[in-house]
Amino acid sequence: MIGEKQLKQRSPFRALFTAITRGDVSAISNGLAQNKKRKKNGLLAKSSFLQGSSQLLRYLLYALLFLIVLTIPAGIGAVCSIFPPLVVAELLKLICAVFTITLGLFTAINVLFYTGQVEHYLALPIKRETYFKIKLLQYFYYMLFFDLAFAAAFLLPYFILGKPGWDLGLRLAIDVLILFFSSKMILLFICFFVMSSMKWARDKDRFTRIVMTGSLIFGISFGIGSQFFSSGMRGLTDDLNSKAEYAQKVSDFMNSQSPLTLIMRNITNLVCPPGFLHQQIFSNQSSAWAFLAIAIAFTGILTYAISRYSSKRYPKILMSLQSSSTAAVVLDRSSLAARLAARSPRQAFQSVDALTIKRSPLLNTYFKLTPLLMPLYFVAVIVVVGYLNYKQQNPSGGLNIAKELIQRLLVGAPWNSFLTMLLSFVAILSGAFVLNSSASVEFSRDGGDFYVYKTTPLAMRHYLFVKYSRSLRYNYLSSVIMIILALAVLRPSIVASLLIILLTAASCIAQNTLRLIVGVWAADFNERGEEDLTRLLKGGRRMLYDLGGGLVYILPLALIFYLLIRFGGLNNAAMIQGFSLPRTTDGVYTRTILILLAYNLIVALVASSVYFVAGSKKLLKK
Amino acid sequence: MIEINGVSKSYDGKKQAVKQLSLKIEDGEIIGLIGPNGAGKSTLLKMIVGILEPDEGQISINDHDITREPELAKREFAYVSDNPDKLLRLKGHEYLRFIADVYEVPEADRLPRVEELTRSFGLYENLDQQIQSYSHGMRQKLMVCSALLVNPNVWILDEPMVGLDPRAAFNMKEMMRKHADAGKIVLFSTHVLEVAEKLVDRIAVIAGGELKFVGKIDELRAQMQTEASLEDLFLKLTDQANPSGDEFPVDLEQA
Repeated sequence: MIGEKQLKQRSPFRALFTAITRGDVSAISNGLAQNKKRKKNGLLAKSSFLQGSSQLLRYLLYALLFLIVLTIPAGIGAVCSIFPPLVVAELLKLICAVFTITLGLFTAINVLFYTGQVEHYLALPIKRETYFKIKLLQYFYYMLFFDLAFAAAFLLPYFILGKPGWDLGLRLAIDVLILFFSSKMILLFICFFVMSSMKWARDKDRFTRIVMTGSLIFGISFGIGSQFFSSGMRGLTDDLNSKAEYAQKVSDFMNSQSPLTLIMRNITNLVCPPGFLHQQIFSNQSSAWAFLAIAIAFTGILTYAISRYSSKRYPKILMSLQSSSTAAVVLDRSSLAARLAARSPRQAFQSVDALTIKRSPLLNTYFKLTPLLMPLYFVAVIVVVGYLNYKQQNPSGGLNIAKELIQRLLVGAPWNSFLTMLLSFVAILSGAFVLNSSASVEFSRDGGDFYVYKTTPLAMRHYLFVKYSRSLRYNYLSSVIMIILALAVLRPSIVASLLIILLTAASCIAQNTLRLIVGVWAADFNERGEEDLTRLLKGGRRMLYDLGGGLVYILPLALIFYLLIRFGGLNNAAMIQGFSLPRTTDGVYTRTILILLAYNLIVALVASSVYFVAGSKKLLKK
Repeated sequence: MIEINGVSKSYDGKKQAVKQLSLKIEDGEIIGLIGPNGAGKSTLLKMIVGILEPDEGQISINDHDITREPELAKREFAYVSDNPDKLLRLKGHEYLRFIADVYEVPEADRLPRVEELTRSFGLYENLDQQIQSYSHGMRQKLMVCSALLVNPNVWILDEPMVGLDPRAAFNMKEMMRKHADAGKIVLFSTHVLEVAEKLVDRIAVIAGGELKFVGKIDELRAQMQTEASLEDLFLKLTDQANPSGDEFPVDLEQA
């Protein structure tokens, strides 16, 4: 019921702030506002098992997931407890710069410029500055929330284990705060500079395509570069015995004047300006606090200047985004006839699905680019690691380098053993398990379009088949190709090769189908704009679904491994023997592969039947 | 023929959006579904086309049960939803081709029909543009064109006139009449009583999820013993849906 409380007068700032934070379901919001709306409409009950569960349970699951994610920075923080605060501050600066560059630009521009309802707000009698201030608050919330949680999770174990002392500890905490804050101000400047001076950024599709591809390429380059960096660090610290010596060497390396560290330090300093004063802030001299004060003052001035710069440009940019023009091409009769040629309903849906993915930059990134580029990323990183190791130990090189590399990648096992095959299978499938997880939202991404398919005579089995084959092709084909390439280099016996290819293929089908089944049951076909897709694709719910689909596959597999180790003779001694016996077809490994193959074939068969039969019925009820 | 027998639907398990509703629609008629907002019109249409599953009751279209034989039932009708924002990344001709493929419209019929329909709705020149660049009215026209392209036995249209310009609305009404005159069914929902009064053979008035009246407008007048306009009849018939009982809930002068 509406009472006086709900209709109480508020300031325009507060009214708009509430409307934007509660009602404006933006690209990166947590979607609670939308869930509330759906619940009110009575549509929530029919969407999915997780949405149907209580809100408290969902909050708890998300909180758990968030805490699990934070164990990573906490772990790094604990490991870094041997380093002095300067090294830690430099490391956090590097992390902050990477977060800001890779994830920041896309999210920031979406929050500031591409959220819905802008047209409506522009027409309201509210000062443009008020709107800018609210968007700025929203920007800081989205940009800093995870970063600060990451920094806190990192620093807490560092303070406990590293015991830097209150003076240095406080300087470090303040420094990290201004590092993260100033990086977001620099990002804000970049956003406004890009939007006001670069035309391509004002076309949302083009902007998304360019930035997302750029982020992926940057990610790959960073991953490869970091291997060279860590290799350099390893070279410096190979012969050291004590932690203190190690810490000192790493510290020296990070503060050295070598070209690699200089470039990296200056780039990160530009993104996080207080980094320029790190040497002084963390020195033992009495002026350290004064330099910290200068860094704080500089951050304040930076904030003021960039806010002024952005505030002035904001309304103009927003208004320029509201106009759109498309050059119309009128089709002549013959071209229209060619474009209306008949296809089967399955081919028709396949084409519609492919066009939708191709033309939607977000879908294109998540459903095409990422599954294709991520295996490449891992291959590149692994090759670099292998190359660096190989170069250090055998710099003469030679034609056998590829073979040697693969041998090293596969835990140094003598090539051609079944165990090598098995380990490569586990490694690649683990990669596929972690990375290729878009299958669980393969259905939800259709949103309200699903009802077009549902109200036409398109058979649900065709709909399911197209999703099945697409997901398999994009998410798992690369795993099979990688296995085949590894086999081509290693050249085991034909039987072994066929077995391992069959095993990989069966496992891919089993994993893909289980994830798709979760996707069907969890599918949420609510009407959503493309900006809400980001929430769907990046959200915690998707991670939970992935986890669910993966666990259904992994848990029985773990049980099988346990039984094989317990009763099947797959023990350390047998493994060591396997390593030392090239070209072996020892019974233990043959049996292991055959059991795994049987498991995967059964899962693939049963899951596929469930998917096509029960999946069709389930979708018709959605 | 569309047969709806004792159909009910609740979204939350408590309040029923449609209650025990039965309705028979014969071939060759245009039937208009009218009712206030939230009366259950869209819910009923969504159950007929298979978007929602009834909690109880059956719906069949030309003897095909929509729950048990969904593909056969769907081949009998084309549906235009109240929201035309669908498959926005496709171009106009790609959407029409998709619909033609799924309904297996013969290739030889496609070009002449697409040309005729899109020219008559003023959409031909925009066929090579993505639907997302269309205005609301253009999107609605495209959805209507796709339903007309299929030309099935039954047209089911949820608020088809919304967003159409006067010429397109006129064409639409003409086509609906022709379709019914050819012995087929047109079932549509509308809030525009004038359209209903001029176009339909029968009206079905829904309020609070229940069918309040089905029949010709003259029959309604006779039943209510008045010569009043359809608007007055509608207001009287759906008066119970206004729980306050006030004739006009807000005193405009005071406001």
